Amino acid sequence: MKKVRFILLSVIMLFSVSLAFAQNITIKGVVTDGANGEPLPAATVMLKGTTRGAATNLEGQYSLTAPAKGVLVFSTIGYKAVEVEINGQTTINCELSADTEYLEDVVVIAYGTQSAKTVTASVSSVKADAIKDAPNMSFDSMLQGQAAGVQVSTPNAGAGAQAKVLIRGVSSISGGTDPLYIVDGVPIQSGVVNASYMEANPLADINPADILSIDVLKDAAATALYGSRAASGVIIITTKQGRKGETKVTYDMNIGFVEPTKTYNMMDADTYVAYKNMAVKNRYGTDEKAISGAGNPYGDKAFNIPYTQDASGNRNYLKTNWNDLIYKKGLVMNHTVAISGGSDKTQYYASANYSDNQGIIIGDNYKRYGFKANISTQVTKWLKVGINGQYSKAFTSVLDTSRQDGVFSAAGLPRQAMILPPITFPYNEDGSLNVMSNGQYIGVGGVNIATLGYPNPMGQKESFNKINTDRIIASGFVQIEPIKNLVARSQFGVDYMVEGEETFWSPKYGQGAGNNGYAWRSMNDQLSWTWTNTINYTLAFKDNTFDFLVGMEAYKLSYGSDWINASDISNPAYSGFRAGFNTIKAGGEEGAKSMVSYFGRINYDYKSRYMLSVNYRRDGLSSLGKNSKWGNFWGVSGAWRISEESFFTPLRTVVDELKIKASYGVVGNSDIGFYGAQTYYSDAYYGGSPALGLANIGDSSLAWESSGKLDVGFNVGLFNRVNLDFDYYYTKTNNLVMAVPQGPSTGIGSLITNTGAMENKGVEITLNADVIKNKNFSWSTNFNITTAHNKVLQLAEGVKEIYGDSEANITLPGYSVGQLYAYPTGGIDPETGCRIFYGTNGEWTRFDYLAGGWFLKDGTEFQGDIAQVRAGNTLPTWFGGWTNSFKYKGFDLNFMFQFSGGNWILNAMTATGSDNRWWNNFAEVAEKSWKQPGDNAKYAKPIYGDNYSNGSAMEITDWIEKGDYLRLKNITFGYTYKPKNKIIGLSSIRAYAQVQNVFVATAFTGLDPEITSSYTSQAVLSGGYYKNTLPQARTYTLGVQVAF
Amino acid sequence: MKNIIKLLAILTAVVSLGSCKKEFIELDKPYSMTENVIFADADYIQTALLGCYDAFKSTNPTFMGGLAYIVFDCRGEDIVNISNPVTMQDTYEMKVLSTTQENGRIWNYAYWTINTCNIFIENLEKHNCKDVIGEELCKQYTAEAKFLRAYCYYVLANLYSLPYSINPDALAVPLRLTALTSSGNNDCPAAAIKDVYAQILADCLPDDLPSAPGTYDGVTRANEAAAHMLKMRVYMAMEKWDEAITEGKLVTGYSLAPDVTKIYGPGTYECPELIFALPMSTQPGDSPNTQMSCAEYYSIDAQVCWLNTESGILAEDAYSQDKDKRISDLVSAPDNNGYVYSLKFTDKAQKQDWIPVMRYAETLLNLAECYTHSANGTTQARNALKEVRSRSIAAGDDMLDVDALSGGNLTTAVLKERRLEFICEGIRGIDIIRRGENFVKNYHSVNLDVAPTASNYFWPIPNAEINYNKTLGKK
Repeated sequence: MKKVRFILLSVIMLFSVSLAFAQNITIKGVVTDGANGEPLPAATVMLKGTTRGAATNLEGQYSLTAPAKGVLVFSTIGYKAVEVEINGQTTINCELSADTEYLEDVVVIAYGTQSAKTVTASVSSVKADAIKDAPNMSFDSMLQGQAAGVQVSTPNAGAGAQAKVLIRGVSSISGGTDPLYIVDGVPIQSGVVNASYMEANPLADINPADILSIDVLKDAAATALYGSRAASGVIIITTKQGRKGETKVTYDMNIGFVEPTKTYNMMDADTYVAYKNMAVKNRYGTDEKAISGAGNPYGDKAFNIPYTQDASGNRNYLKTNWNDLIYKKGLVMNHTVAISGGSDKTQYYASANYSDNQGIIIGDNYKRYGFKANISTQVTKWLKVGINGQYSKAFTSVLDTSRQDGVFSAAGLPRQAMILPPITFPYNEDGSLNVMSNGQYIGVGGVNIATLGYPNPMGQKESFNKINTDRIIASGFVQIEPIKNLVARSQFGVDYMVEGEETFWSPKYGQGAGNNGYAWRSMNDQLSWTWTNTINYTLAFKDNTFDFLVGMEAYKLSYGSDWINASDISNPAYSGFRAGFNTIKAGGEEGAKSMVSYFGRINYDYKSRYMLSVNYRRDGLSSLGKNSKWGNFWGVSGAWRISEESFFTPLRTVVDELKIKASYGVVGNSDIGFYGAQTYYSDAYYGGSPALGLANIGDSSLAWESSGKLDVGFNVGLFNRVNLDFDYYYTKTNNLVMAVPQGPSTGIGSLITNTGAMENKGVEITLNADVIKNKNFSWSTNFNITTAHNKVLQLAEGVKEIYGDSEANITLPGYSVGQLYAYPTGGIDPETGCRIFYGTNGEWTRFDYLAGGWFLKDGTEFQGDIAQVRAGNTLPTWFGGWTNSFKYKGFDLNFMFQFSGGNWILNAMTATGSDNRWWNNFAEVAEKSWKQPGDNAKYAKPIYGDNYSNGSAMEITDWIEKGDYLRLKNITFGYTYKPKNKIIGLSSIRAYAQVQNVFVATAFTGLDPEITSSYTSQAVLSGGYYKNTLPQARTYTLGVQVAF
Repeated sequence: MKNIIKLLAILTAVVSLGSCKKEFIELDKPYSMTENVIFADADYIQTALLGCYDAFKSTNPTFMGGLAYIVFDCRGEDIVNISNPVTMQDTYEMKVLSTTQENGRIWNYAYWTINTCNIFIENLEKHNCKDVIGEELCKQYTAEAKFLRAYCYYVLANLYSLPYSINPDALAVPLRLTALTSSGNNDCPAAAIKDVYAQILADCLPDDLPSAPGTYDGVTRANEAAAHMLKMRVYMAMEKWDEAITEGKLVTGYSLAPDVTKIYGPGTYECPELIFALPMSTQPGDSPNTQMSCAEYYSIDAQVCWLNTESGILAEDAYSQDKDKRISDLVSAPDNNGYVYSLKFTDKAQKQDWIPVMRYAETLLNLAECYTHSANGTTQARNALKEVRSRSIAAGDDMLDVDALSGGNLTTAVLKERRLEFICEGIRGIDIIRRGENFVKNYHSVNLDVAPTASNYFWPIPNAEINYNKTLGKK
């Protein structure tokens, strides 16, 4: 098409030149793209009111003779026309700016592209430009706030951690909720890779700088062609391809550092000792007491500040701020070099990248290098072939064991930073680590106690957990056009990933001490291949256009895992698996799933005014029950562009586009494990003899989860400047595949079965506006907001509710999934300093730790029940983003807000931070705890050992907080310099500075309200539970983008 | 020409994919087996039976191979557990609530084992295994699985209920006796303690079980003597002393190991004293998980539970004599805090120490206790007590003169002997509760006297069970 245009324009140019008048002046100049300064080839320059004109060459240059008083019109497809009065000038350069209406001309849909005007389905598109400056290692976290209906949350700031992406809400309870990711037509592995001791993010293997656009398919019409994998939406990544023209070389880099946005303000040594001794005194009547175990060299009190002493008896007190030792600043950088170009027939793109993020906590690091190349060529008129591939190597290292299982990891580093007393110290006077029990635990410091039972975090530095990932995503295609408008295409793609995990626990410290050193080494490979064959036929007659697609696809994913664990290191001077160990065990597993699919689509449009689309797919999947492997999925949609009607013409000066659309369809969720439908026994041992243990009880009629999706919406364009999209969506998911927990005494654990129903509904509003658009100054704004209301309609028969991992959540019909579940409390009784609990009939009671029970106001023991109650929705009900871009000459300023809310969070860290055992406490606990009758306290009267009154042992409603927040996610300031004549071949250079996670406005008192429960098996059921997670990271970067 | 290419393209696509369609999406889980295969093969049936033992011992992460064994010493006063809540400190301090970790764990693992046994028993029937392994073996395997189920209920009965001796009608735990493999089975009322004991007695089928003392299979699997022993324990809990004596007398073919230290450690099946013990190996999953094995609680390397030399049995002169082998050879030297530890379970790193669940010394001391309750049993009681005691300390060296004891003194001596002989062997906590005695602890900051009337005398049913099982009928 482009080629045709070029030829056409060249003809016009030749034609025009031949008609030139002799008395005119000759005007020369360059036409460039206002956004990036690149020359625009094949742009037209016309003398207004005539047919005379010229076209620019590949350098964007033109030459034209015209009357000195004339007006020139500069235009090219995809850009807005500009008129310039000649006024005798002989050099007129012109910058054209992209016509947004045209730029969004084409959207990516399933197995193809479609004109945006005629699209009937719900698709959001995020262009590379919107995310190009962010220093993120992976695109998933970059999507936050960028598109309506797409909810992104980063569970923690761990280097290389994966963000949680939900499209139009939580689509499943026990099945996967991740969207399907397609990269250049190849479905890729996206779920968090759960290795044994940590996790890696497979989405980070794709270099964000190689991405051209990210299209999010949301409704059934858009996703039906992905059938059984579409229930959670589909994200299509299109990577950069070469374009016809001169070879272009670009270099993008940014460098900076990350730091924690916030850490807890804990008690210092003096406050801690005073406070804890008071608690001991409140319990035992004296604080001169050993709590357990032997005495303490630093004093007779329960808690004493430790010290070193020189020869003359001068004491140097040892006070430790564990936050300072455990958190750190880390370096962040990204580099990408890309070469692209092509001829009429062949286009290519190749790039290399390097990224590094050293994280905010000791031991964290993510590094990647990658290479990418694609080439495609039109061999003959009817034959086109192409190859597309990328290789990446990623290194993820983590010391923080809470990364994999954040909520529950007691020994995770963020928890240690909080609870380790400021009076225990990391190093002894001689520089050795302060440890006891053969290195297993940190020394007690000034605590009069036998052992703290926690490792010394500084000793953990001798250990490591790392995953090295090798990843190839590659595909090749052959495309033939045997007869006009019929395109047959066959594409074979693979996603191959090998992760090598290595864990080493030093024999000297922490967990490894008990085994005299421990190492784990595993090699996990995953290969998925997809073979897609499609035939596309376009039929146009009169004002009717039909677009037919039929296709079939085969898909197989297989994995293998081999592991060795080793203990009892032979030489303690070494570290790592290869050191040599005296005891070694090995094992492994493998598995596979496969799918065959047939699909078809008919798109019809009449005059681009009435559109209809019908989609169908039939999938057969190995992981389902014997009798239910095949499923049918479909979607229909239609749209009416009212603005194209003749009666609408009078309004068109104001409303340039008005489209209404609707769609409905049924898609499925197949992210349900590999063999969940089978009952099988696995090998075990009893005293060394082989044994067969019942490993899974399966449901032989296990079938798809099916989601019926309705979408109704409209699109309005105003004044050629403002674009408004509105969608209402309603999804009802039936036959939920759930691992239904059974009562423990059944001895079943949980059963995977089809049961229950759930709905998600809400609206999406996207507003784009070019508020100001001048030659030198422009301001554009993009605002999107989504509401999301989830409701569980029905659970399994006989199951009235399901509890989350920590039993701090309950899921029951009538409410959104994963409600908080806690004991109802009412603050602190001003009279006694006890926590007020409410009985099941609303009775006022106070919990008296020393007396060991609940009491009524009159002091008599409470005879009723104290029970957990449903205590708040954990899913945000609204979220969105607001981006503003300003440009003034070469300067650009961009800031983006992102917001979310409507959810509740159980801030269990408040319980941890006010626990009355030896754990360190929040600094505020010293002043805000009850001291005398009449005090309106936040925390109970401190009584040593009391882990109930402030909510450690029982989750209490007092610690439930609102999760609403507004975050200034990014602010970027840049300057672009485009030399008039290329200097040393340089065509443009842009320098910028960016801060990410600038601030967050919230009433939430934890480190950050953006939480998702970590990667537990039941993350959906266990939301809104805030415990032991890392804070978010703030990133400061400087970047340069150079183009040759 | 064009149409031919077009046709070819379509045909190639359809045929190449269509041809592999059916098999392509039929995938079985590799390295695993289905019931149809297992219960049609004699070897696999036995392997599946060992799967029941594996569940009983170490239902991932552990049941009788660790937690359920250790819990009864942690309830007693002869060891000290001031460690942290992960290692059952709450059990020691009698503070276990419906949400406490070990409460949920022991409950879940017990019922997981029970259902594993129920499914095995049902599969033997369903797949007509008589035709595969013969009626005799079928009976034996059923009896083995029932023994394991009975033992699980014995553990539960002693943790979650008022003792029979105080109230035989006290509600204990739900009795699950059929294989459960589908949803909708959550509701099940708690049975009375007398019914739980009746079920255990019914599940002990000594006549269907083999007897082979001193052999690997004879010790590591349910056997005739073990079934008699479990019945004896239950009769003692029911204070049916004569029935208990009858069962005890049926335990034959065993004798005390001459050296008391030779009972413990790995691979001890040749010890003539062991009636039922759980073996370990270094194979994956064949030893308890982290912080769940005996050595991780009791060994001096672990420093989690030390012996109570201040107010436990070791504080008494007659039970801490240097010449007593159980003191000289089975108690460690003091560590740097001055604490001493048991040497019965020492392999903290590899956790290969076997778990002695029942041994002949218990048969003798059970008999001794029963005889103190029968009219003319004093001599038999003394003899049984002497037999156990004199193995470890010669009568001439012993400050305790057993022959001088009678009546209440003799009973007390038998009970104290049990405390020393079986320290760290999961007996003490059961002895206290079955006799309806108070749990009394006085060690440093832990000062307790918990009577049967107190709410923390036995454990509350775990939260998850209360939440799902609406007909439970108790807390």
